Order: sequence, then C-alpha cells, then structure tokens
Amino acid sequence: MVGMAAVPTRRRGAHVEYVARRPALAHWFLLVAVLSALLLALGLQTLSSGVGGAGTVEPRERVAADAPTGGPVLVQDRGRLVGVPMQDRTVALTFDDGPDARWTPQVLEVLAREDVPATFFVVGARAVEDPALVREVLADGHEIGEHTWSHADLSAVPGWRRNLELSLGQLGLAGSTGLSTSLLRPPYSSSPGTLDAAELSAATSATDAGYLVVLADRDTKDWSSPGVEQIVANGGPTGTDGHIVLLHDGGGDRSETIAALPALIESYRAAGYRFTTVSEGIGLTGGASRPAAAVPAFQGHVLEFAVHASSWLVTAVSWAVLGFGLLSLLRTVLVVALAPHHVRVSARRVAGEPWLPPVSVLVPAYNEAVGIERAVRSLVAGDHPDLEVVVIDDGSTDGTADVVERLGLPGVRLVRQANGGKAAALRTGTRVASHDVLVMLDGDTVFEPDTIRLLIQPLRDPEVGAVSGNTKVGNRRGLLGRWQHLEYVSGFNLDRRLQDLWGCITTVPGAAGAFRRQAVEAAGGLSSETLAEDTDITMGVLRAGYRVVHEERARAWTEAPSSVNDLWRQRYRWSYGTMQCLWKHRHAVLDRGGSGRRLGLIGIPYMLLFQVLLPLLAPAIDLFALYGLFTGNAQSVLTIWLAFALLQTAVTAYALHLDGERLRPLWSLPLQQVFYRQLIYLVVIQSIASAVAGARLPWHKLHRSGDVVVPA
Amino acid sequence: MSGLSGTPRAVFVDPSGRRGRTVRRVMWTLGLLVGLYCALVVVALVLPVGMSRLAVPGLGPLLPGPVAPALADPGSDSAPLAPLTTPSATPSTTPSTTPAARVSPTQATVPAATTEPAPAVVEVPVATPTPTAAPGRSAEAPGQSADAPGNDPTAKPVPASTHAAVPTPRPTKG
Repeated sequence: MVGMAAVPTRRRGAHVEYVARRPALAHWFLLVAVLSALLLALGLQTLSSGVGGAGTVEPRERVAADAPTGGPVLVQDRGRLVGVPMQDRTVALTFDDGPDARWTPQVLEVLAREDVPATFFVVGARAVEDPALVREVLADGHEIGEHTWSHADLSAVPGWRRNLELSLGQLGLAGSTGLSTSLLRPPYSSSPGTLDAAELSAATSATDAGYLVVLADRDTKDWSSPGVEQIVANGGPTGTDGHIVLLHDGGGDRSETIAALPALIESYRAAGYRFTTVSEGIGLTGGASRPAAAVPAFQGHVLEFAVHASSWLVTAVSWAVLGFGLLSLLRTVLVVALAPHHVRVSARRVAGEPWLPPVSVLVPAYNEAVGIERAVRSLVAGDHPDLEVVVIDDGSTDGTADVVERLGLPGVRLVRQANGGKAAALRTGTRVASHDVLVMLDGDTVFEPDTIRLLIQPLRDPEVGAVSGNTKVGNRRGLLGRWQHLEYVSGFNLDRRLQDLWGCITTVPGAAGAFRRQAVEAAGGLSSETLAEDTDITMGVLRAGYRVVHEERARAWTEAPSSVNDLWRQRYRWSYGTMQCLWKHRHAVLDRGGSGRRLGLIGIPYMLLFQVLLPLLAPAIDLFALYGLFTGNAQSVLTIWLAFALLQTAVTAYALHLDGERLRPLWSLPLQQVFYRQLIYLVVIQSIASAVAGARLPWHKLHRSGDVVVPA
Repeated sequence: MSGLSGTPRAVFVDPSGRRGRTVRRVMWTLGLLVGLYCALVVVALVLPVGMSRLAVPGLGPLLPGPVAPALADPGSDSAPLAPLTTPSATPSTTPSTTPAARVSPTQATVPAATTEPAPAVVEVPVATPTPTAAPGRSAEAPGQSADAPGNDPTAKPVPASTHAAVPTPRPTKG
C-alpha cells in the first residue's frame, strides 16, 4: 500500500491555472486533528495490546533472598515488604486475566451454584471493553482486584510504563465499576517464594503506591491446561493454612479451569475451609475497594470511550487500507496482464494502409510565446499530407499571436479571441476548422513527424469518437521531471491501456487527442463548466455513444511543471476538474448507450476510487507506516514497503519497456514515496475541500521555459 | 468574466461564497472537536490517578505476629510497640498460631474487624490498644489526612483524589 501513488492518468495542463488566494486552513486543521486522533488511537491500541496470554512464571534460578515469607499478600511496612497470610482454614479463589466474554460467565455460574465468593483480578483494557461483565462479577458478590492495564510484566517494563499500567488499570475499574481497588495482582506472578529481584522491586514500588500485592500460595497452573485432575491437585488444600488459589478466567481456553472448579471447591469444603474474598481472608473488613472519586471515574469513562472509539477507528481504517491495498494490487495485476492484449488490439486498429483524411489541428495558445513556434513547426513538419493548423490565440499578452503571424507558414491559420479560457478557444477552433477530423493539443506540445498520422488512424472506425495520444514528459531534468516522466509512462501507457480495453477511457489528454467533429458536437462541444475540459469532453463523447481509444504510438512531448509550486497548481486544477467531471457526469450509469453506461459503471467508480478516495486515505496509510516504523514493527513495515516498491518498480519497468523508454530513471522511483506521493495526495485533499466549499478557482498561467527535449 | 472558471454554471462553484463559509466553519468546528477529544484523552491518560490509599485498618494485626521488624529499628521514629521478631524468623506464623505475638490494636483500629478469631488475644507485652499504637505503627499516620489513612508509614502524599469515602474507623486521638 505504501507503494501506491495516486493514479496519474492525466494530461498536460491547460493555459490557465489558479493563483493562491487567501489561504484556507480549515481543511488542513481538520486533517491534522483527524490524524492526531488516529495516532492517539494507534497508541492506545498498542498500550492495550500488551494483553498477553495467561501464565505464571516458573520459579527462577535466582529467587530473591529477601522475598517476604509471611504470607501471599504483600504490604509495605516501614519500607519493607511484609507477607500477610490468610486466616487459617480460609481460602480465596482468585481468577486472573478476565473479564472474558466466554469464560467469565461460566466461572460465575459455577461460583453461584456452589455459593462461593471469589476475587477477580481484572485486566483494565479488557474491563473497559466489557464493563457490563465486570459489573456482573461485582453484582454476584465477588471482589475485584487490579491486574494492570494490559497484563504487562511489571518487572520487565520501564518505570513510566509500570506507573501507567497501574494507574490505567485503576481507571479501567473506575470507569467500568466506579470503584477503586487496593488489590493488585502482578501479571505472571505466583507465590512470594518465586519472586526474583526485579519482581520484588516491582512489587515494592506497587506497595509504595499503596497497593496490597496479592500473590498466591496455591498455583493451579491452569493456564497451561495441565488437565482437570492436575489443576485440582495443584490447587487443593494443604494442612490447615489459609490459601489463596491462583486460577484464570481469561487469556485463553479456560474449559479445564471450569471443569476443575467444582472438584477444587469440594476439596476445600471437605477439609473444612471457609471461602472468602482476599480482603476478608486477610481481615480487611471494609473490603479492599472504595468508590472512585469523581475525577478518576470521569477519566475512566473517557478511557472507556477512547478505547472503543480507537478500536473502531483503527479497525475501520485498517479495513479501508486493506481494501485499497487489494484493489490496487488487483489493478496492477490486471494492468500488467492485459497490456500485451492491448498491444495486439491496438495494432489491429491501425493495420493496413494508412487512412489519410484532411485534418484540422487546433492549437489553443495563451501566452505561449516561448514554445509556440516550435510546436507549430513540429506540426507542419509532420508527414500527414492534408493538414490545417489553426492557432487560437486566447487573448495572450506576450505576443504569442505575433510570433505565429511572423512565422508565415503555409497551412497555418491564426484566430484571435478575447481571453476566455482554453475551452472557449477550442470551441472557436472547432467552429472555424475546415475539416471533420480534429486534433487538439496544447500550445507547448511538440509532436513527432508521425504523431498526427498515427493519432487519427483509429478514427477510421466510425464508432470511434476520440483517440488519446501518448503524452510524454519532455523536460526530465531533476527529480521532479523524472518522477513525472515515470508517472506519465506508467499512468498513460498502462492504466489507459486497461481503460481502453474496458471501453471507458475517461480522459483524452488535452496535450494530444484526436476527435471526430460529430462526436464533439454530439457531446455538446467543449464546455467551460469544469476546469478539466479534456476529461469533460471525453466523458461527453462516451455518453454520446462513441468509443474512445488509446493510441500509444502517437507521441506528444510536453513540458511538465518544473517547480513544486507549478506542479501543485497544475494538480490542483486537474484534481478539482476531475471531480467536477465526475459530478457532472454522475448520471452516466443511467445512460442507454453502452459506452455511457460503461463510463458510469466502471470509469467513474474507478476514478472515484483511485483519484479521490485513495488519496484521501493515503495520509492514514503513511501514518500507519510511520507509526509501525517507530514502534517496533519496523521490520514488517519495511517488508511491506519493500514488496510494494518492488512491485511498483517492476510494473514501471514494464511500462517503460512497452514505451521503448530507458530504464535509467527508475532509480528515482523509490524516492517518490517520501515527497512526491505526499504532494500528490495533499493536493487532492485540498481540491476536495475546495470542491465541497464551492470555491471558484481563478486561473493562472504556468511558467514555461520551453525546454522540452524530444529524443531523436 | 473571462479568465475565471466561475461561470455561473461551473460545477461545484458557489458564486455567493456562502457554502464556502459554512463548510469552513464546519471544518474548523469538527477539527476543534476532534482536537479537544484528543486533548481530553491524553489528559485522562496522563493525569495521575490518586489511588484510594486503603486504610488497611487492621494491617498491623494482620501481619504475622512478629510483624514489622522495622518497628524495632532504633532508627525508626515510630513508637516501638510491637513484639518484634523478623517475619522471616517465623515464616510459618499465622495469626492464630502465634496469638501472643499478635499486635492487638486491631480492636482499637477496627472494632468491627473482629470477625477473625485471633484479635481477641491481647497479651501483647507492649502493644496496648492505645491510639498511637495501632495506626501508629507509623507515627506520622495520624498526621496524614483522613484521605490517606494509610498505615503505610512511607505514605507519600497521594496526588489528587484519594477517597476516604469509606471512613475507616481510626483510633487516633483516642
């Protein structure tokens, strides 16, 4: 997923672009806020996901020599840990790691049947997930103790985490039950005699905080599923000493525990024991819990809500990411698998003698003085015999029209009009053009000698209404140029082949396209309703019932924005224009014509998914990746990233190969991930915000340097 | 209006700008709400939780008879009151097995706590159920607020709420 850039199926810019106005910050603020919430949700998930399996540790090699021995409940007494025993012939059954929706109710049922009180050491993160169950435990007359927030090994985590585990554990109980408890059972603990130095120190710091650390003296080891009989044997009474029996009601399959419980209870009854809670067993008549104060209770509620919201949010985003990952993968597979088929299909379209009808070439030009001469000369130098070049000067202020006039080339007509935008210029051009085959290009596009001839070939089929040419980046210096080059090649040459096979090419690039006049007129002509007049007219042609095809052999060289600023403006306009077109043609799915319906069923959803929704999700994907990178999942993040980077590189290499390009610029591809991709998705977010707000985009001319290099 | 995309029919464009203002206001509000939510959660996470420092009222008596060796510690500032043996010296001690050793103040501390069999025994040499004795096992205990009626002598001031909601009967001040 990391490797997926926004779909680059786009074409050269138009004349005019927007200028940044009063910067609107609202959507960036919202984006940052939402990403913060997502980050918080991820953090909370990590914090809660320590919830590990149940278990106690076997006595270690070096048991702390000064482990208290008096009894299993450790309290602090003048700076020293002291063990408090249970009263004689009393037994406290304790259940760790719950609540668990499956097992806890079964434990409660057995306890109710036997009429035996017990003490439940509750994992905070689980308590907030199922607060009703904790309340049920309390309602049944049992006691609640804390088992940390996430079942963390208190002796193995750093001090801040230990404090957090304890305090969040409290909050979990405060939120779910409104109580604060003084009983703590450290996860992975067993009896005092098994404490090693680290555990002892963790226990000491817990008692420092005011906890009674409740260990056990009868460890059933039920977490290891040793068998029902073994559990009873491990947990049964010895002598007449009071006991705390360690059992589990969560953290795994507890069926053996539940099966052993009646026999275990019976063994204590037979020995004359009385069942108590832990606090009662050590003589705390008031119990070990108190109503939580208002503030911690509120904190607990906030935490409870946050845990639910976080889990919901992370799950939703994860599914979305997974969904888009699969879709992107599917698209990649389709694109690569079908490309050879397209090569054959498109070769068949132009097979045989060349079709050489008279052609009108429309060159709308607004302040293109730098590149117009070269563009026009490249057109008349073409090998198509019957050609009319119409330059429509859209009210240029830099003398573009004069440049054209001075050329005095035969077959080149100049039309001047007041500035009205590219669509208006093309409308003028369509009106004045003498022929029925129209080729449209940008004022700075440089055609190869055979471009026009190749571009119009598919139009010999009367069903074809428009042909998309292969726009190539002519200025490939610098990273930005290389990135755009790669994006154009894999975007155009692969994605558009796929769209072609589906019969729903959504954009004939403004930089290089051929149209049948009837098709343009049937589509209602070029419209100024959107900023992407090329996408608009393409969709219109489709909806008029014509087919639109891609002719990758017809190459047009264009100047890509060479500064980040210009690139941003260009993409802003593209993205905004695309969304305008999607909206304008949203009813295509209801069309009677086959191509219109295909546009509605495939083309528009495809664009919506990959050009609008995917960029919207992309920041979350990056956040997930970064978060994983810095929180110990670096390896899996890097693996996924590498897999996608390799896939993307392979696909792009294939696209370069199909286009007869050299593979050298491929080295810049992985770098796309750290700047270019973000730029592309942020601009989409910006344009979505503008679209929702109904912003009017003033136009702005791109800077032109005229440094398009056409390889010989 | 040449040069502007905003012909009246332009898709999405709201020439009046009213929609834009509304949308911006909604975005600011949403962002603010989400931000506040984040801040609230972070505060809830990091705000120290004052634990209800349980007055283990009868802790002294709960301890195995020869409790609290520390009490015997000359350096200790507490009233030396208990019969002193180190706990480890009598590992097996349980209240009932060493009744004599029990610190009796239980009675003073938690009158109700006498559900247990042992506390009745009062033959403790030093320990009389004097006020200072019981809680006192930490001399400073009484000084602590009722909020932290801990018998934990090292009791630090507990941050924020400690709930004395269930007032544990304390024998202080006789």
